[in-house]
Amino acid sequence: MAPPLVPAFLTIDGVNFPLEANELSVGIALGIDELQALRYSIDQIVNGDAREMSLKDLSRDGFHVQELSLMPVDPTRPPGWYGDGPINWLRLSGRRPDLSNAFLAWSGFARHALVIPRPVVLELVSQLRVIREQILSGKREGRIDDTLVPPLPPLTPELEEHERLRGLSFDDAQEYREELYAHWK
Amino acid sequence: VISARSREGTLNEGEQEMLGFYRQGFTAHGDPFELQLGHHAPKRPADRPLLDIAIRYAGRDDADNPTLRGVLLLPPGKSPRDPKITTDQPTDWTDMKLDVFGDASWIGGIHHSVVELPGWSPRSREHTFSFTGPRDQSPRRVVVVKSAGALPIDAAQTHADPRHETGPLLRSDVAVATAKLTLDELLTRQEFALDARKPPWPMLKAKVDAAAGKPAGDSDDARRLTRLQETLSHVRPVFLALGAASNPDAYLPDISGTALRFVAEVRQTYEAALAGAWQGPVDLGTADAAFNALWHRLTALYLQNGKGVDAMVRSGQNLAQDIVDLTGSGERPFDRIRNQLGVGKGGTNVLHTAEHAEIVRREFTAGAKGSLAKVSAVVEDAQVITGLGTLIVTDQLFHKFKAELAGVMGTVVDKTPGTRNLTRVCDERIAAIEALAQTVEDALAGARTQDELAAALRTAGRAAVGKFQALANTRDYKQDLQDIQSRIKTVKLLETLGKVLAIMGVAALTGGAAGAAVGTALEGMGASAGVAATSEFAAEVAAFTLTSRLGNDLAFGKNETSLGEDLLTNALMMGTMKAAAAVYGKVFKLVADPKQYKTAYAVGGAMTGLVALQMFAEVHTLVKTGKVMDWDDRMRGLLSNALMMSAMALGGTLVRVARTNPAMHDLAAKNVGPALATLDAQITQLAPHIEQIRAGGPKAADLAADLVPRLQELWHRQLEVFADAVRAERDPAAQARARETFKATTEAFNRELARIDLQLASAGIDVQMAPGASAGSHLFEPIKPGFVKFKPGGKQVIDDFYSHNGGRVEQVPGHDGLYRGTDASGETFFVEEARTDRLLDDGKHTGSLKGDKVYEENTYVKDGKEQTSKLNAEKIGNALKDSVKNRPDGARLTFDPKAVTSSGVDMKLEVPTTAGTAEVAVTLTMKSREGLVTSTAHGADAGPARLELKHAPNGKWTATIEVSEGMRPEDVQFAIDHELTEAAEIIRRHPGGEPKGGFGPEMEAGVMKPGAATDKPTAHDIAAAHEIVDLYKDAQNKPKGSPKRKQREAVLERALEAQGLKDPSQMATKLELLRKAGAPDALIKQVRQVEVERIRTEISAAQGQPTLFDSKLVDHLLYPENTGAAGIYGGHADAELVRFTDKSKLYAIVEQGKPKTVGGVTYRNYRQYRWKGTGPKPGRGTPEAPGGTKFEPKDWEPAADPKTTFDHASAFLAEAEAGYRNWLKTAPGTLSGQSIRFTTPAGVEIAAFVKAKSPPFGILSMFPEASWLPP
Repeated sequence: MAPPLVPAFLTIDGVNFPLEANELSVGIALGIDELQALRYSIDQIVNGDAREMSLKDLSRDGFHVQELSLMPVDPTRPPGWYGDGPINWLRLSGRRPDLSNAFLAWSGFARHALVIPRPVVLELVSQLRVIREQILSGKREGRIDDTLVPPLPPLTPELEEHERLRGLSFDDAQEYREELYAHWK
Repeated sequence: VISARSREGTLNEGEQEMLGFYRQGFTAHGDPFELQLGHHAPKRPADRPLLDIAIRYAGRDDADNPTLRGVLLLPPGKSPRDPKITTDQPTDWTDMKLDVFGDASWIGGIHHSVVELPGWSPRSREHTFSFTGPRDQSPRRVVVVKSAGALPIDAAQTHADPRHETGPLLRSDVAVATAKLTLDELLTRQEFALDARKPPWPMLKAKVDAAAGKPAGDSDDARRLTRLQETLSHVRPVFLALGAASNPDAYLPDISGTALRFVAEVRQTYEAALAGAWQGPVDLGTADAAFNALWHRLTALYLQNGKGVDAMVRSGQNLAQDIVDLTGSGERPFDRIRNQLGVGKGGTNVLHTAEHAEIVRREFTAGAKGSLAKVSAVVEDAQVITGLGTLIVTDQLFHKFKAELAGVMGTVVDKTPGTRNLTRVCDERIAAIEALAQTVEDALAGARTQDELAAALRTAGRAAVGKFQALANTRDYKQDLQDIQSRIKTVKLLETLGKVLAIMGVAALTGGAAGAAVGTALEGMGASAGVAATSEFAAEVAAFTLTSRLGNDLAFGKNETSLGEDLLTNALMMGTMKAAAAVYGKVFKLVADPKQYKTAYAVGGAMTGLVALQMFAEVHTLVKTGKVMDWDDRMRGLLSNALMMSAMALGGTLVRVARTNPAMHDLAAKNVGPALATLDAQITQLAPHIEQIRAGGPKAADLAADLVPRLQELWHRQLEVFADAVRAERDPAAQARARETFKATTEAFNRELARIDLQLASAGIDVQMAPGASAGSHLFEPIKPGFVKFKPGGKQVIDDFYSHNGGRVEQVPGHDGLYRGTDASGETFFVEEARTDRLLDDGKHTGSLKGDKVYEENTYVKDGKEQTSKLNAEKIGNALKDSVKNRPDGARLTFDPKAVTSSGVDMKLEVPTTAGTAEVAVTLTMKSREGLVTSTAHGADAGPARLELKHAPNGKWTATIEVSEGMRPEDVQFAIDHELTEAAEIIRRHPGGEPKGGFGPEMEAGVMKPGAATDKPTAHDIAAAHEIVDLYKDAQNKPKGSPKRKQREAVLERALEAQGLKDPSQMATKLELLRKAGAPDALIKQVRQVEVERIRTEISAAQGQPTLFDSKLVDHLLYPENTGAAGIYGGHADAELVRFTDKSKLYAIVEQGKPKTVGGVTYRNYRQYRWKGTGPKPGRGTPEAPGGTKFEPKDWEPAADPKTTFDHASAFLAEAEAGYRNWLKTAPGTLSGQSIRFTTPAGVEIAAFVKAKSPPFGILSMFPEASWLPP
């Protein structure tokens, strides 16, 4: 009997993370802009040079290489300090992030940052590491099953406006975000 | 043996056999090669069959060893058939297997490795090939391939010529008359070696000739012709140098064919660039770069293996054996010469020519500083040694001829009536040759040390070789040899004679080094001139060097121009100064303060030279002590050279006074002898200092500055002594004569000062005397580069100057009072002061929109004919209402809507300036498109609106805006807005009114045009940027896909083209202008794609294949963007990152660690900060900024990441792509992670993230690894 395939997505805290896999690795799939920075960090932590990093260390120190980081958020800072990271979690989950226990996924080559709850990161890494072990030991085939990934939650009017503005002008989108964030307090 | 020129391009000995059984091309590290395999079948039973391997460089760059050979033993009894040649990689292979019989019975191999050598930019490639058979191996062979356009790395960094700015406009008839003179001279005088029948000359000539018949007054013509005149003036010295370099005798015979081809290619590059000189400004950058690289290429030819100096050295060594073989022919021994020729000891000599040639070759290959300067010395040494060899062998040959002719038949023939007595001929030739050899022998006998021996060889030896070469080139000599050969039967003698004649060539032993001497001279001059690195400078040096080395007759044909040291220190220096000044497109004014230069003002006369001398010395001191920091090297060099020239000329006059004014000197000797003797002794002490300045070198300007007070003091003292001598005459008649003598003396000195005034004015330096100076104190004033105004009395000075300098002065036909002076320093036009007004354009300037096709006319069809609509008052009023809302930078527009008619309206524009708010009365006039006044700004490319701006003496501003009444209603606002913005910007920049030269330059497109050559935006550029942004925003506000949006996008597209936003020139400034005009990010990104694609094209060109790096990656790496978070998105190009952070309200960077330069690219590591303090972010370099003394860490958030940068995008990306391609060759089929690292061929460590984990992977981002940079 053929080993099972890698699931097309993982659902953690109500957010669906689409996956991709090959015979050596598993990670977040391409396709959702808001996940790009996280995608590359997770790849390093699950499959790359940081794959031996303990969850404890990750939880405490975060992960960082040149131009790529997944670092703990300083809760004393306003949300605007993290660019579009907070609003992007709102886009993915439908909820505002709790800055007191979160990471900021950031990259110098991904357009968007992402503030993501710390437990979600740890759970995501934990599950992906298990899947990777299964692939490498032959218990899973390094391919994605054909289940359709559920779509993102529908855009709220405020998110829709934000999307429109960031297509036009970074500064306008930032200004709009700051207004939104001001109401989050 | 040096082969004849005709042998170039033919196969060398044995090469025909090499075309044997296999041939293929391959590329190694981007360099194309051709491999040929040949089979040498044994000709005798004892011989073994051989595999001949020849690898020939097949590219257009310069290889120092064009064909590499290897030979391997093959097994007996078999012939190669169906060879199987395989490599370890399809391209860039390291190992090649040679299964020449196709049956694996014998397998040989070629191993290839390549190293990039530092020193040249682009880098040279050293390819090493080694050849191995089953039982033997052939010595490894090395070829160094230097890029054709390569410059030594230092030169490459400073060599770029600044673009020539445009000076004031000439009136069209003056421009065409002067352009015609220059063009006609270029095409008729043989020095320029141009073929008037080849493009672009017939076209340019026809256009200029046609323009010569038109009346003056057309501003478009004035613009075009002024530009053409300036361009021709720029290329004139270049073509002169190329003409001199087109003489085959400037090179050794075996390289002259290639050298002439190189020269011809550069000439063609200029000619191709000039093809567009009539239509618009031409970009001579490529041609100038090729011109600057040419001298290095020519030098490289001398240093090839087996050719040039190497071949000459070997010839000399071969001659040593011939001398041994011919010894005992009855010749005189000349032991000292024979010793230096290494007769019997392998050709070594005190000059160590072979060893030095090899050392210089290695230094040159490595791009070492000073190597160019050594090349011509090595060539000349080789010529001396080889020349002396030919002298001795020829002596021996004539003795042998004589002996052979002395046979019975010879004697009989010699005595037969009607035949020549060749025995006597031999005696005469022997006597002449031995006399020459004896001069060398005597000089060598007098030498006691090795250095003295070397000096004797280089002086007496060189002189003897020169005379021998001249002798051998006479018709009589050639006839004698021909007659003798017809009677000589001994083959060996004839062979040796043939060898000697081949070595001597036409000028092989004398003129053949001239080509190498240019590089030598350039390197030498560049160290001291301060104005090096212009193609004009290179042209001057090249023309001078070639001319002086070859002698006038050889270089330019017979003429009477005197050449020598004075040319270098005077005409050449003047030419260089003129060229440097022309680059600025303006003249430099120095005004002498009457309080400071009291003597000059009091004495009067043409005192400018003396004042200039003192002013230059002061300027030099200011520059030297760092008090003048904002001048570039060229400007400093210009004034340093002016100082040196003036000091030399005035000092020389002072020193020569006894000779030039003997009457005054004698009078002083008679009447005030002791005082004169003391003075003369002091003056004599000046001479060595002046000679030191004349010799040049880095300290020459300092010396000149130091000499100034002494010169002035002595000159005044001299006048005092002479005056005392006059006063000492008691007899009234004698005193009257003495006064006349004194007057003549001071007038002579004034003539010298006037001559300096003339030269400085020609170089674009205007040493003005403030009001109050005596008449005649300043005769010459530069108007624009190459044009000088002169006062009454100046013409005589001009005539004297050119007469003395071997030049000529001619009146420009049809233009009274306008003259053209030409000499070795180039050409200058002189105009009488009273007629100057007729020289320049009248200064009336009319601005306009740029782009005649951007806005379409609003048409309709009536009665089957297309008609143009006319805007009505309502449409114009609506447009103006929008214009009121759309005024940038605080300007305010008001008008009475009821007053608007279809003809226009009067309005008021208020412009805040530093001098308060300027009120401008604006008249808007609607006209037919054809009825619009001619635009001086954009000529035929003017759009449908015009602007004329005036500032009256009473301070009142008026603006007239003309707009085409046929514009579409929806477009008219953009036209009006453009002109209003342009007017406001001009007023803001010049609140006091019109600057000298008028508002015209502000109405020109400076940055916003294709091929922009400046980064200084004009007022028009500001308006053009606003126009583009307004058009873009208007398009965005229309529904997607709607006809109106499509139409607006089409207008925008044409406007982008017209404003040069589809051209990468000055892209950073263009983007900055758009940002300041409020451009949205999307527009900025759209526009910068032009630069992205330019970079991608450069990468592809550098590697000879399409780049793997997509536009998105290149854009990301080039341009930083705000993320709102702590770090910056992308932006690894150093200048852009610095610009971005300087402008950013949030981000700052500070360099950490040390930069590293690899392959001409400098890499840096920055720490990123985000401002979180109160108030505006402190600017870079302020004490409060990161790295400053008052840096407050609590106000800044450091990013976790560094930002690493490169300073040359295409060079970095080409290098990175080479590394990435190498990584791809060994990459696994599947990656586990998306982070990769690789090292480029030059050793740059790169961190990258790939898009996919399987082929073709694709790079998402990459950057220099921070840990690779030094801490």
